[in-house]
Amino acid sequence: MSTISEKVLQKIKQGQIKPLPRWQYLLSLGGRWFGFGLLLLLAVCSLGLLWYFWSDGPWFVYGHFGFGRIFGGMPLLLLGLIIVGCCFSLG
Amino acid sequence: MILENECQKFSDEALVERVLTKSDYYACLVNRYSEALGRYVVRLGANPVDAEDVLQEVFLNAYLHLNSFDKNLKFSSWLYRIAHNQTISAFRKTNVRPTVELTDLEPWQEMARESCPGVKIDQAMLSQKVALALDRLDQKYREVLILKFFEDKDYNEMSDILKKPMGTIATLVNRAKKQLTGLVEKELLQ
Repeated sequence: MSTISEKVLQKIKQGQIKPLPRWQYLLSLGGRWFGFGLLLLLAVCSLGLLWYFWSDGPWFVYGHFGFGRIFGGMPLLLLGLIIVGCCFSLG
Repeated sequence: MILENECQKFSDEALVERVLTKSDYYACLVNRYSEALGRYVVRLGANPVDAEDVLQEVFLNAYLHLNSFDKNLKFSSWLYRIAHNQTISAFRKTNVRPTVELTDLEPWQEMARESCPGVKIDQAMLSQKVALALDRLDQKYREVLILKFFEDKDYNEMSDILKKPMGTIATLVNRAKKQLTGLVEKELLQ
C-alpha cells in the first residue's frame, strides 16, 4: 500500500503537473492594484462632479430639459458603484 | 526518491525552494504534514473515508500554487488554509452537512468541564453530550475551536488560515465557547 506522498508524487508525474509560474500571480496582483487605483481615480472625479452639481452646477440647464433627476443622480450612482468596486477589489 | 534524513535537514521554506527545482522534494512536505492535515480535515467534519481524497487534492492544489506562497507567512498556515478551503468546498460539492467524529473528544470535554464546573457527570455521558453539542455548533464556531484547541494555533496563525482579522478571531472564539457551553448545558438538562 503506497503512502499519500507516493500517490501525490505519482499524480504529479503522471499528469505532468507543474507549479503555475510566479508571473501569473504577480500579474493578477498588479491587475488588482491597477483596478483599485483606477477606481480611486474615478471616485475622485465623481466626488468633484458631485461637488460641482451640488454647488453651482448647471442644474437649471438639465432642469429645463427635464433631465435634472437623471443627471443629478449620476455622480451618486457612480460613487456607489465605485464603493462597491473598491470593496470587491480589496476583498 | 528523497530519504527522510535528507528532509529533516531543511525548513519548510527551504523545501519549498527545492521543490520548485526538483518535485521529489515535495514528498518531504507531504510526509511532514499529511498526518496533521488528515486529522484536521476529519475534525472539520469530513468523512474519514473521503478524507484521504480531500488530502490528496489539498497537496496537489498546494503544489500547483506553490509559487503563490508568501514567504512572510508560515508554510503550515498557508497549507492549513488550502486544506480548510478544500474541505469546505468538498462539503459544498457533495451537499453533505459535516458531522463530528465521536473519537478524540478530550479537548472538548475539558472545555465543557471548565464551562460547567458545578456539574458532576460521568465521562461517557459527557462525551456523548459534547458530541451532540458539537454537531449542532455552527461551522464558523467549530472551525475556530478546532484550530485553537486541537491544532494549537495562535491567533496570528488562525488569522492567516481563516483570512480574518485577529480581533474577529478573538470574538469568534469567545462566541464559540459560549455557544458550546449553552449547547452542552442544554444537552445535560435533557
